[in-house]
Amino acid sequence: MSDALIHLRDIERVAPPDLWPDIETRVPRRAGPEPDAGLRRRLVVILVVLAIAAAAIALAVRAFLPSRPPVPIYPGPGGFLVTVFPAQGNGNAQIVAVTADGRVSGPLTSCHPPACLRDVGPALSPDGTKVAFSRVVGRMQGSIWVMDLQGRSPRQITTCARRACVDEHPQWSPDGSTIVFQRRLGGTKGPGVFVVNADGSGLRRVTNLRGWYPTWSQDGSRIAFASPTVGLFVVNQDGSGLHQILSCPAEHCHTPVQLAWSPDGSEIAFANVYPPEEIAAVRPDGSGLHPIIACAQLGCGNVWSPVWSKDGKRLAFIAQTGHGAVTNQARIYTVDRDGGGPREVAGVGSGYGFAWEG
Amino acid sequence: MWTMDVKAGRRVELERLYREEGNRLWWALLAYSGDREIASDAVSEAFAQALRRGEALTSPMAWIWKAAFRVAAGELQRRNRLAPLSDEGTYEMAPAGALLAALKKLSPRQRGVIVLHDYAGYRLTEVAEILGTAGPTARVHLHRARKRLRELLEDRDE
Repeated sequence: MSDALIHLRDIERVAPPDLWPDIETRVPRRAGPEPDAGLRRRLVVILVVLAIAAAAIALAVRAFLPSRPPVPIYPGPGGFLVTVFPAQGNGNAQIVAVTADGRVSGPLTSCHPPACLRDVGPALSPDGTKVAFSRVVGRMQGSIWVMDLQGRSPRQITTCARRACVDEHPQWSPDGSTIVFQRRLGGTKGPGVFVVNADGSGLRRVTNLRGWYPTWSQDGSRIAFASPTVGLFVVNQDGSGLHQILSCPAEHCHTPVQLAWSPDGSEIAFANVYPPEEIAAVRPDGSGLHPIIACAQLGCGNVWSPVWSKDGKRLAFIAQTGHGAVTNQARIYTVDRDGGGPREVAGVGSGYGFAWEG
Repeated sequence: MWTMDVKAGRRVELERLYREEGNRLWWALLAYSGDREIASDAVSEAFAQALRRGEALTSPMAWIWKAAFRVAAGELQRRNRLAPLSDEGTYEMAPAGALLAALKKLSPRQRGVIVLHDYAGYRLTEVAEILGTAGPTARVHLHRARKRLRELLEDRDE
């Protein structure tokens, strides 16, 4: 008992009135507290606590589960964006990030059947902030998309009125305003080279000649491309000045694919995906055709996707254990432009078509 | 007939409760408010509301205490908005005048907690429920109220 209680009892020395007569006749003026207000308040508190706990558990579970799409590791200086295929089959390919020291993360995109079969052929914008790629949604159905480097804000920039139409192998113009790509149409004998503005406007065909794997010159004025079983061509970006620079098949040029114009404009590198399975290069005027590196040196079955470093001193490419676009073992290599110093960067399962921030 | 019997039974029960507890409730309210009028009005209002609710109240006395303190608190708030509490008139209620004068120097929450806990005998959780505050907060108010009241009353005794 507190000493305050002794004093508080003093209050009882005040004579209380008899209020019962007033109570009996009084009309209450207020509703008063609800009889079960306390219980209801406790129930509300319990429900709120349970809701918070459920939300916390959900967040904790989510933190330990892979999200869709997972947040990729930024490929970083010298890193890569690579198309990888699942171990079995060639469906549901996705784009992953690979750091310069070989750490693989991703995918950047969320590609799941039936809405999406494959995201392939990433190409970095010149400022390194955006990625163009091809999204294949069905047999002979695909279009060019652009997203940021973390895989956010994917946006389709090409559409095709034809039912069978695949847009693929995008390459950015040096100023980042335009994308060149190949379009394969069902029922035609070969693909065509098209350009489109980066916002999806201004689609046009560059040349009526069948062509694939186009690449921009360093100043954006010309486009080089391959024509299946014919050779390499160069054309002005407006479609004028078309001329063949190389006839294939020839030595070091057998079904050339995946062209890459060097940053200094002096050479066009490409991959020969049939024997002799090598990365080769030629000057834009067609002279100086020479191999850079062959699978014979690396013990691989095929080479794909040569990409120049920014300084033009090295090339990165993918070496695979087997033939064709999809195999079970793919490794990223870099090599000096003269073929020296090949170095394995990372194994990425199976894959082809990639971009390099080298 | 049945309804009238129930109403009559309720009235008898509440009158019995008033006769047993009414004075203690009135004294608690007087200590809390420092005003006979507020205390009387709160007791009358709470019992009148209980009469109207009747069978809906499973624990009528607990409900009446809560209702009465809320009525008094509302009236105190209204009067405080018009004019702050003063010692004026308190000494007219001698010999409890010194106590009431000291209580008026506490905050309304402190007064409510110390009256309900130390005088009326409610547990702190019940006090918190009646005053619509949290249990830990009521404990702090009680500690401060006891300390302050002791100091005030000792000053007057000296």
